[in-house]
Amino acid sequence: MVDSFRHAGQPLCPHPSAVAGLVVLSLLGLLALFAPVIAPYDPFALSGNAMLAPPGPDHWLGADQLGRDLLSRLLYGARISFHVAVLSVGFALGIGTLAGGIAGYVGGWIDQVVSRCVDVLFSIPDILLALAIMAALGPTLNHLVLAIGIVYTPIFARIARGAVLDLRHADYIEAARSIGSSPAAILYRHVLPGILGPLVVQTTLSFAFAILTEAALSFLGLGVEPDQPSWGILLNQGKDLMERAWWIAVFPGLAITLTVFCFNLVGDGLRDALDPRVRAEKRA
Amino acid sequence: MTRRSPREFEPEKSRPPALLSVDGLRVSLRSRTRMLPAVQEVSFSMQRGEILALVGESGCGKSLTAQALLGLVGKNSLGQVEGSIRFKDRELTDLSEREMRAIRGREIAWVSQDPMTSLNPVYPVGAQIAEVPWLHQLCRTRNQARGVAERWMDRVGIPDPALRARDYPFAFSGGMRQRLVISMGLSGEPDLIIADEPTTALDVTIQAQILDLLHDLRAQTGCAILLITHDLGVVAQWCDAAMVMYAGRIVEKAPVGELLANPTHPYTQNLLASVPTPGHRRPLQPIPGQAPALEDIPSRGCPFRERCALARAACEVHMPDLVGSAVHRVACWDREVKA
Amino acid sequence: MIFYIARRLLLAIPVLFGISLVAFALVRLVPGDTATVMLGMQYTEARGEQIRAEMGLDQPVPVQYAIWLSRALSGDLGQSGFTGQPVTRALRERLPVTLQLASSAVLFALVMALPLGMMAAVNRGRWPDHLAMTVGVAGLSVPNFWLGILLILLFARTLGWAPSGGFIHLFEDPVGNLRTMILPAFALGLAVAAVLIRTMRASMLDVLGQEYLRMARAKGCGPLRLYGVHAFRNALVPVLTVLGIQVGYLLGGSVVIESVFGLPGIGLLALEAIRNRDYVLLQGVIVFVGTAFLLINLTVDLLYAWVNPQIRYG
Repeated sequence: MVDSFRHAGQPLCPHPSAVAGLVVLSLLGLLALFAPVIAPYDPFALSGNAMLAPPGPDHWLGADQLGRDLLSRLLYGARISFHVAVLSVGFALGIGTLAGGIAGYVGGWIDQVVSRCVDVLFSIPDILLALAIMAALGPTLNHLVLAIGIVYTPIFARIARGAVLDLRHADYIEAARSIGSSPAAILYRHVLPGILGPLVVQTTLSFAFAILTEAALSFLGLGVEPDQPSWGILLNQGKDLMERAWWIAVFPGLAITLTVFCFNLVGDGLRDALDPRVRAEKRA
Repeated sequence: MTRRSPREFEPEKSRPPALLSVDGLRVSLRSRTRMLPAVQEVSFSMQRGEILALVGESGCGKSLTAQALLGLVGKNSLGQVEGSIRFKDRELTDLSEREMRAIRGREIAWVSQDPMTSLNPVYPVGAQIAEVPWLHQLCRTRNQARGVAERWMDRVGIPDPALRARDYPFAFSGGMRQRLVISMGLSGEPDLIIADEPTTALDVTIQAQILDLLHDLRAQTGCAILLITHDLGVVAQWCDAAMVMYAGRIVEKAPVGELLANPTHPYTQNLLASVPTPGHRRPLQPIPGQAPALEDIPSRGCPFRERCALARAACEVHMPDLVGSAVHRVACWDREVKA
Repeated sequence: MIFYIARRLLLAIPVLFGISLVAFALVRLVPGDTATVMLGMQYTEARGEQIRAEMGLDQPVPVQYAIWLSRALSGDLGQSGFTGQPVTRALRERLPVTLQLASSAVLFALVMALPLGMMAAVNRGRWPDHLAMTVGVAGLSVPNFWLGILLILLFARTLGWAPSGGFIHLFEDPVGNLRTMILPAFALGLAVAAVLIRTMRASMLDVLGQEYLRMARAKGCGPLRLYGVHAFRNALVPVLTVLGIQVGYLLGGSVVIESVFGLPGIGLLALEAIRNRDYVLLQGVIVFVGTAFLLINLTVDLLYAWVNPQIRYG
């Protein structure tokens, strides 16, 4: 009896932290988009008298050992991070959902094959798998997108398959089938809306993971081309210079943390808002 | 807060001191906007060895009353308890959480509603029963406590207690689990057992076994039992006296024989009319409407008036007091006018 | 129980097979082959052919796979194309470092997450909850290698409390070993701690609503006993499952952390293999790590059965 009142005192407000995360992300997105306009310097321009300049009025976040402006490089780095995150997660979302959805819907040997592939990809740690793929393909931006995309495909396949399996025997799907709707129409009209929630949540959280993975791989020298100002590459340079130029080791990490933090906040908020189980618990 | 009417306590003074006497108990639950009165002006007393029934529809505040007696509401922000709960000459509402802890399980035990979920799934049942005498220092060693647990398992009718004590809850049937929960309640040798619908989750035949068991144990140990139920059949067969509760208030209180023979409150009458009587072929009369939800309990007047055939103007304004003879009391304006 | 273990082991076989296939296929994608790498500057057509013949690289690809797999099954993962050392020996040498790093990280994560998650659930909606949830999100958002760099900058370079890298063997110098391990373990474990905090909080909230907890209170249990004994073990079940999943992250993350701190573990071995284009070794590392991951998850399942008696007998 008491339990039914436990949550009565909590107002059902939209998550303020998720909204804040979304606002900051939009800002970061705009900064990345307009980096060529906003950036005070050319991120690749060398400058002899700005070598290892500490943060100051000329270089707000300092400069690296070749005199390149760190703020400008961070802004261009954001473009790389968002580019990789969007494309690789898009790849994973498309392929994974398609494979998992078909596996769940059709069943039989196709399901067996897809499920075993998913199991295999799951049993190789993310970073190691991405590293191996990058080692085989060579470090370029497109290969990075592909590698991270492959790594995050199985999770989408698993979610889509599970959701479709749940829905396949739902009464309203049976009803649609009994009135003669085609499988494609059923998939589009009934199944897709049902699995949209978990997919949206996973997509948001995968953005966070993809940005982290991109940075880690670039940090290890197996990400984007080494002359690109990816946040991971900046950190790798910062690591070697940390005693002489702490700013190179600190600011790129802050940028990664802030971006990933916001994606996580939005993902959590979406999960609370979209997952029917969480929602039911909140209402109870 | 305790609005004590002098009429209320006079007859009871001549009897031996009560084991438990509750006076003006009021439990409020915090909602989004205000405190909702879930239990109001509940007063009653229990003698040692008495089986008292607390009857009412679900959600009327029965369980909350019981939890208030154990001090399980009100110690946090969720609820608030007012009034007086005297137990063996101590005022429970004045005790600290630590002092209440020493009472729970040891002097007032609780047998919960649902035996399927009341046992911790990850510990053997023997250990869970032994926890009570161990916690309350009735035993000096864990082995002794285990022995006590096995003895109680035996007494509540669990075959092979020494062996079964090592089993986990999922290995027992519903009826057996309820026996385990009862033995857990009894292993502290309490003076009062609060049994919250102990049989609702069980089959009818098992229900009778469990209630027989409680009845026998009362005879053997002399503990009092507050039996919370919505089943008038259970009340008729196993209880000494009964209180009828509606929307957080006690509306009628009488020895069981008197209550069944001479129900006075329209709600009690309705309740009895909605239960089939063996041997009598008469149409069942469901009570019109339904009990108000906690948020909808009217702040003044009689909460039953909207479902009551005898409602009158006075019912809209004031809640009637619980009045009548020493044994049979009722809170109804209709009754007061006749008296 | 035995049936349960047998079934789990049986289910692992196709996955192991798949891992070997992936490892093998990846290496075949690489431009240039082992022979060119091994010979380097001294490469001639004839010498290359000779080495290819020795290593069976002149066979059709399916045959190569069959040979490699049958050798792998008998515990022979081939020889490093760079040092000539047997892959299994390299793995054996490097394993203790990674094992110690990963287990220290798990230990740190558990020590931090279990109490924090529990406190958060018990004080739902109050400041301990907000604190725990902030750590729960922030810990997931900080890149572990950056955390490692910051720790080195602060504790090693500035304060001088711990070495900034390198590894001292546990049996040579236990104290020195701990000093080399503490920063990497923290850097690697924080993300795991974050996940576990969230899991512990959620599962604890679930347990706190259970009837047996009210029953325990009614028996007279104090908060310590209530949360520590009655709730804790029940809440642990989902935490263990999630911890099993986190092992994958730990193994992958150790690649990065070992690189930051210069710890000679399996992760660094993988990086060296990649850098030296030593694909036989890389293949071996992938197969080994995948297998280890599977076995650890199996162990977690067994632990799970220990915590939850219904599975043990069911």
